[in-house]
Amino acid sequence: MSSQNVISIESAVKRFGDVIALDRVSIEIRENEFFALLGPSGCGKTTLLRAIAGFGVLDSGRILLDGKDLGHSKPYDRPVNMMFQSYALFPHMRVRDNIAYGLKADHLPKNEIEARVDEVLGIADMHALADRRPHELSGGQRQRVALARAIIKRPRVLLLDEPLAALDRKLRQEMQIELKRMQHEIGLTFVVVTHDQEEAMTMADRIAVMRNGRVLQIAPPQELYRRPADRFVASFIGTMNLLEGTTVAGGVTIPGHETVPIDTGGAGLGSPLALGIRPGDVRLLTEGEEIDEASIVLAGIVETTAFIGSQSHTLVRVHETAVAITVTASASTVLVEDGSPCRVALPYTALLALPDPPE
Amino acid sequence: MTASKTPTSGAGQPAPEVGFTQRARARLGLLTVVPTLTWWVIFLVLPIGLVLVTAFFKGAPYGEIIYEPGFGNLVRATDPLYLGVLWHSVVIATITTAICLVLGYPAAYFIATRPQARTRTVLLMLVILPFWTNFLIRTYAWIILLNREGVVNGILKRIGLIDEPLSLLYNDAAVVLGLVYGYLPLMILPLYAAIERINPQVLEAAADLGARPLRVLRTVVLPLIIPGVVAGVVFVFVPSLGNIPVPELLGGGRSEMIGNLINRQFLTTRDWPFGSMLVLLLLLILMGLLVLQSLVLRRNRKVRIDD
Amino acid sequence: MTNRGRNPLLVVYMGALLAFLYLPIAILIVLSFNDSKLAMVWRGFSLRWYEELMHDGDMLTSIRNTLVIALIATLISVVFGTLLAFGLERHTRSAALENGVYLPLMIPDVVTGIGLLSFFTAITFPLGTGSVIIAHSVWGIAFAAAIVRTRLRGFDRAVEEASLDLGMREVPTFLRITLPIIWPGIVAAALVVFTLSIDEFIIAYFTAGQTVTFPIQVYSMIRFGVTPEINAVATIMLLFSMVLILTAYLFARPRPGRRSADAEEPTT
Repeated sequence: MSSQNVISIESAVKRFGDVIALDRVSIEIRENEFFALLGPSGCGKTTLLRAIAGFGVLDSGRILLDGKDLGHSKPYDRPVNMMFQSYALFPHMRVRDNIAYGLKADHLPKNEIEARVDEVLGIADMHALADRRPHELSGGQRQRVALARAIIKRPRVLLLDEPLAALDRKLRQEMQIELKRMQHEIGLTFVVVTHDQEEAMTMADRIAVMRNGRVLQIAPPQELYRRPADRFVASFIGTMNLLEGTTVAGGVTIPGHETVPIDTGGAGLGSPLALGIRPGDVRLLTEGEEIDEASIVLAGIVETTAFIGSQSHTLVRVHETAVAITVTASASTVLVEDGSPCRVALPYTALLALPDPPE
Repeated sequence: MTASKTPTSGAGQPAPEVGFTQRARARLGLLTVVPTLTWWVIFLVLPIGLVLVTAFFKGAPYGEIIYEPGFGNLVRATDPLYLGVLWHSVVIATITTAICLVLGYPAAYFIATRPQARTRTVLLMLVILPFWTNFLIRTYAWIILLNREGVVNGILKRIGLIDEPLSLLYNDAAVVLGLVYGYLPLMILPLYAAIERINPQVLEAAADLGARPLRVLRTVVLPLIIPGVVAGVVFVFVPSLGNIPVPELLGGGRSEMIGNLINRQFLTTRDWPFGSMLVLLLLLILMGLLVLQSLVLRRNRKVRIDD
Repeated sequence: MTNRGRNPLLVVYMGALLAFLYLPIAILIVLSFNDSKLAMVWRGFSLRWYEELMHDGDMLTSIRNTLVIALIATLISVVFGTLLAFGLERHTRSAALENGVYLPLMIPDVVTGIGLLSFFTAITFPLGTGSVIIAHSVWGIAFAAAIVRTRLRGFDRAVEEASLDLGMREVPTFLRITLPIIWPGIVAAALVVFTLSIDEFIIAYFTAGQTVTFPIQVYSMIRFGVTPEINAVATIMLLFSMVLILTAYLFARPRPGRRSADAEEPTT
């Protein structure tokens, strides 16, 4: 039941002149899921969101809602509502009328409209502001009105275009949790577009990472972090140390080290492949310390150490390749002075094989 | 492909498409523009075209038009009598424009440099407001002031400066005064817009970089202000050159301009072909002005880039 | 350059300039209440010139003609101009059109007037109220388009999309969302065109034929000489125009918060 697909996007293609905004994108979005489209600007995520809403016709491919092809149907014929990045509140209407607008469009009876507006005003905690106009509201309040207006029709899917981008940092963090809570409470399917990986990681059940019009990976946040599909995803989600290598029989080599036995995921022999490791998995070795685990051990110099809360981030410049490696450890354990020589160990078990993303 | 590196695919994406197909939107676009364009072709392009053609026909004594093409009207227009009026019109319009520029610049500068937006708005409004009132009435106000029994003569007589009233009306000066009074707001407005755009920090930056005040003026201020000056010059010169009521009412026929001449050809003498030729000449002068304008603007852009 | 705008000389100059602009008008207004026929003799406050005006049949006819012309010309101008503004702002990117639109405002009134006189005569279109209406709409459309456009330029089209998204079709969206938002621009355009039309002299002078509009009436009165009745009618007209324009200004002024949302373009 919970894994029922609400939206199926099948091989969607959209061009704007020479630019390919969507390149054979296929995504399935499940019932009651909080789904995030994540990527840098220009990756096609907003184009996809707008295509679901009915703004902009696909060049090819299909979008299915509950198994039915949406085809060229107009925005007003789709049981899908959108919260716009600019909020797009109607400036000449009071908050109450903004929220009621979608129900009035459906010609619902007056008393039903009133009852539902009251209900939604309650959910959004906006009763006191119901008679204000948009320009009399703060940014956070406008955001709530926009959300209330978009959920009142109980759409099959709620689309949110950078819903928190216009808010300041503190409010943004509050609203991330608030949005998540609201989604649980009203039980809607949310599709949110964002360029902020932290935001996506905090709120979403699953994330599609996009770049240059393509979907690189679709996975829950934990999996994206632990098993990124390629170098781009690996660096876009959190910090990743990268070592350039080459595939050989049985694994990957990096210059001057023995072959690391690792699944290369079908990459051809002799092709370039990066090895990645998260800063928390790297071990900083003390003088003379040996490590039991099979690891790549690199010698270098400590460049700098930054303490952030209970953690320390140490930047080690490796001698051979001049690559900088970030090591994260609990602040109490590491005491190495800047400029002193050191060694870092990269356990085989923590290494990831990362191909280049498709161009 | 470099295109894929541009930050937004939205760059090539015009207004949001609202489910309309490209063709339907283009058709909607035509629907918005076509009525007006049709209207203008019929009631502006055709009429002016007609005048330009008529200029090359011949007028007959009782207002008929003889449809024999020729340059007779052009030859007649080069008669010193008519050339004189043409030249006089250009001189009057030029002097008017120059005075407006001299009077208008300090005012525009003053308004643009008020620190409070509210003050700027109110002052600008005060300067523009008379422009929106009846031009004839504003011209008439000067008759009240300047005629022989008028206010100015009355005051001068009362304080004993003169015994006999002065002839303040019906001369070139009165015409220029009337035109300046009528069109000064049209000069101040674009000047204000240009000056207001100059960021005071730009001036400070220029000075800070060691530019002497004169050099600041030449390299920073002037290039920024020239488009405003050019616009103001055009706005004042064009209606001054073709003016009819001011030379008529304040010049009293003694300071005739090309507009009066045209007026007479059409409504009194009824020699429409010759009148049309005069209209054509008026348009030629104005085209010359527009060419001059674009030359100045192009040169100005170059100066800006060179420096 | 450092003591920018604190020059007392400039303050005096600005005052003198405003005096230059307003003193003639002010004197005219004062004299319209002078009981005497002579400008230099103040015989006390009187409304007799206004009364006389009320009984001047020619004047009243000309005012009626002018109001009819201005109303219809304004209507045509605003409808065409608003359409044009939409077209320019949303449907074309033609530079030629962009520049050509303001051409009617650049052509001297004599030229427009003579052109239309020749044209109407050639097609034997009767000169009168109708021909003046057409003549005024020619530049009125350009003015209206320019004013409505400034309103459209700050328009966040996501607002229209939101309406469609919430289930409203295109036409109701236009009526409930687009029109109310740009309405102040349309009203301002109407007021401006109306004001210009009732004051326009030269084009009407050439295209009115035997019909007398208000400015033509004033013109012929002025040619006869200074009379206090002109002062009275001038006063009414001056104040009327000023009120209209100030109202237009209040409508056209963008209100706080009405400036549409900060993030406009979707950044994919």
